[in-house]
Amino acid sequence: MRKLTLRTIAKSKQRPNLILHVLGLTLVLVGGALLLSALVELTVGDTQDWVPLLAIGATSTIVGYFLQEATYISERIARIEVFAAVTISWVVMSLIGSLPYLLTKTFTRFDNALFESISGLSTTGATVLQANPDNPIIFDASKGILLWRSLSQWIGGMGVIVLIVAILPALGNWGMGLLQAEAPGPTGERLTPRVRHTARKLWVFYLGFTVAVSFAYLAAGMDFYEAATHGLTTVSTGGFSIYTKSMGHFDSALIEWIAISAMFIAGASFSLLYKLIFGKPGPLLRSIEFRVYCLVVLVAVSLTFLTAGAQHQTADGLRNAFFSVTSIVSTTGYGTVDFVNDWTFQAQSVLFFLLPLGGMAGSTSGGVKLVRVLTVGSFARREIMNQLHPGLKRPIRIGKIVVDNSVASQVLGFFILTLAIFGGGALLISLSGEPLLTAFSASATSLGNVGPGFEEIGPSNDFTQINPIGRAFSMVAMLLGRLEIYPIIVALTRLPRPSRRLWRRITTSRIQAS
Amino acid sequence: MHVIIIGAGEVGVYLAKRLQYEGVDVAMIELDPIKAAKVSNKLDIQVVVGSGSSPVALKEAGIEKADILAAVTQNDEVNLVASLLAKENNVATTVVRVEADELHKKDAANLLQAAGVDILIDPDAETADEILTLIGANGAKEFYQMSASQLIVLGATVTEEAPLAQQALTSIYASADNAFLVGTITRDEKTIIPRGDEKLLPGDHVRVLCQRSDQIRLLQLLGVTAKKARRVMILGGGAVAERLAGRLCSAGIEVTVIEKDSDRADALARRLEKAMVICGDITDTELLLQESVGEADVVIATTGEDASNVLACGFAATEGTHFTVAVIHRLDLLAMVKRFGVDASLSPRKASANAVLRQIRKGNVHSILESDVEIDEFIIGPDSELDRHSLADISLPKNLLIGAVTTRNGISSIANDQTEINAGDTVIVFGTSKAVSRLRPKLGS
Repeated sequence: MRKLTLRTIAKSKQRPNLILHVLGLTLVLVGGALLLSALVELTVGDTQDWVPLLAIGATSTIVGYFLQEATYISERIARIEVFAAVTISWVVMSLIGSLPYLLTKTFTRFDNALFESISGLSTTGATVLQANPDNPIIFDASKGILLWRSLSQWIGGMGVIVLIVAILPALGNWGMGLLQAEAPGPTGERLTPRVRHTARKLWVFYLGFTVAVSFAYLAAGMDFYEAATHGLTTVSTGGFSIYTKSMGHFDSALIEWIAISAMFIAGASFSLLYKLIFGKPGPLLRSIEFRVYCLVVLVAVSLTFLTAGAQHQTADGLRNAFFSVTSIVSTTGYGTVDFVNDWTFQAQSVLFFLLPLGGMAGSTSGGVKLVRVLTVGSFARREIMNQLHPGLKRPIRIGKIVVDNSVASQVLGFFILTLAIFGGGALLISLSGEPLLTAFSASATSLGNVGPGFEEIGPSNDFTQINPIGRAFSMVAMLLGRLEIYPIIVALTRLPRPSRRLWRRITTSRIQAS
Repeated sequence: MHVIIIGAGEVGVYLAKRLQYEGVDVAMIELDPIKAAKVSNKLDIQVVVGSGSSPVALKEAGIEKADILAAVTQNDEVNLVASLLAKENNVATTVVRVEADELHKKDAANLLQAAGVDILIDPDAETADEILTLIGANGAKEFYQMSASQLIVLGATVTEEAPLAQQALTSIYASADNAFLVGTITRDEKTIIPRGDEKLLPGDHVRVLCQRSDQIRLLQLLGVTAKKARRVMILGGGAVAERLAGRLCSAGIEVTVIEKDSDRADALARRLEKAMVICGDITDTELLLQESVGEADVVIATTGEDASNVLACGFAATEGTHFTVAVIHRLDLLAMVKRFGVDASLSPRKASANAVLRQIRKGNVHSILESDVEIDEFIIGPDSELDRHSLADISLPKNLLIGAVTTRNGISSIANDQTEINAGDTVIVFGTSKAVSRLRPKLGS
């Protein structure tokens, strides 16, 4: 007779459920990150924060483990399930991520804890954390919590689901769908014929890149803890720092140049970078998007450097210009210089226009991404020419590559949705009583997953400057921005009246036939 | 000599007709019995009904004694198989028409070699190349490159302003130091091989042999004004058009392509990055006006329908297009299309037939198709009766002219009475097909 354990019970009632299966795996991964934070707090920390971290981590891991044991993924899945799986996983992940902040009393208010959690997971990097009253250079939180804060960005950067696709055994055809729903950027470019291998390579690259950057920081003078937390948030283009003055705290040109390079690289396509590392530089160098990316950075740096003000036209000023531009373009959001108070309005406006832009598709950066801007640009050119030549046939192109009409219309839809959400959010926040520029930049920085905004929410301030309505919108916008709008909207359109089939899949059982 | 031609299409039939003049035995294989019957009524050749890829049909056509096999059907596969079978029967030369683009690329060389292909011809590509040469020919309406690189034959129409108009050829030659030679004159749709006392009249279409370096001077003397092509409009989006557009775009010329079929237009637009591809009917004058056809420097009509091509070119010419080129498939129409405002016309069949003839005669053939007049190049054999004679001493057949002589050292000169011919020289001959066949025995071997 088989031993009756929880596991065998779970196994014996295995039912096909993509959503719960993905959710379970997500919980295991998040739980793992929390346990790691607990361990660090226990060994190097000086508070009792490891207890709640351990408790949440362990609970999450165990619940997640049984969830995924109790379910499996069937070959037959509806598209809506893929979107629902991604959306639900992210929402649950955000909720669990907020628990450590609440239970360790880092935040007393739930909305602040949730804001910090979403800002972390979505790699935005906007914070509501306050400075330590005794030591204003660091935040008022324990080492374990600050590590969790950085880890949450790292998890969110490449995406939990991409990781799940990477580690799950052979998965049928839906892997690419999931990957596209979560991976940043409109193209699900495959590095290998199998999705799983592609996802795995992306994560291996991500891990290796993180280790490399952390070691560079270490070598440049950070201590081990500082190097790890900043490495995690640089590569994920998150931008959380453990110091209130962000990267400016270290006051080291070397560290800043390392950060500039790492942020620039993190804003480039990981699959092209992967090819570069393995001896094929052609695809990256020939990529029009990469060339435009370089151009955008160089032009923005020159413009900000020239307009920031006479006192900034020094070597330090140039570095600061580089830092701020790469930080905003890659949507990291680190700061060295308080551009809101130190720079002229012209230089600020350059940065403002970079806010919603983002880096390349397939990077960890947020924003609309350059490939979409190029697509829309080509579309606009076609429409202009069409006015003169009604019969004109002109495919939408990025460089020489033809973009399929279906892809192009998806991109256009994305653009329109982005504009609508950005505009609507800006209106909402300003109606709630915030100044115009604050409202616009809050909307843009949240949707673009950047971090800092302008006026009241500049690099030296935080999002507590904004009223709760603004913060509530920002939370939604950050998640929308991270998942690139469609998955959430699609899942939401079905939410008021979920199809019976979907609802049954989430809640009730359908016992395996064999 | 025994030649087998596979395919009684226009290329095949034209080729067979030409080869008859050469005194060559021709056997033709054609799948369609109706077409086969038509050919055998018209020409004195053996016609076998069957597939070119069938060993039985090939045997019937006398493959074991054949020297050349020309597989010119529109089916690449049949042509390649025929070539393979020909090589198994030790046929010396195979000429194969292949239209698929990928088979013309370098990596297909092994396949073609395995199929025993000696000469590859591609009517569309050859037509496109001919049109490209015309566009670069400073206003000439025809352009033929001779085998000696510095010698060319230009076809052009004498205008009212031409300094040479109303002058006799002898006085023209005298005043121009024999720098060029008028090979043919076409007047009232009749082409003649002119004698020295012939006068040039405005409206004459002449074909003139000259040195490449004299090209621009010659065209000026004929009153032809050249305009550099900056905007080109290509009507029709077939294989010829695609190749043309690609080349013109990479030369930095602004190209507009008009294609009727929406899917084909889409495909073209995807492949031609710089060209503007417009979906529409080329006989729709409204569309042509909308795309400002008159502002195009060159309009090239390449659709499969001769009438549409002529019509569109005619319309473009009245709108002010400087130079119009029409692709004409029916050879018998070539002569008359000039009346409709078409500056230059050429046939894809003609181009590929010339390629085959060049091979068979081992000389350069540029036949002019509007009548039986042709330009040829021959090498003088050591036992030729012309050897070591100056042109003044030779009696040539009627309707024949020797235009230029290229010595073995590669020195070319335009012929005059004093020019001497030696064995080993290459001569360029203008003449009717009959006159040329009468000249051939005198050339030695």
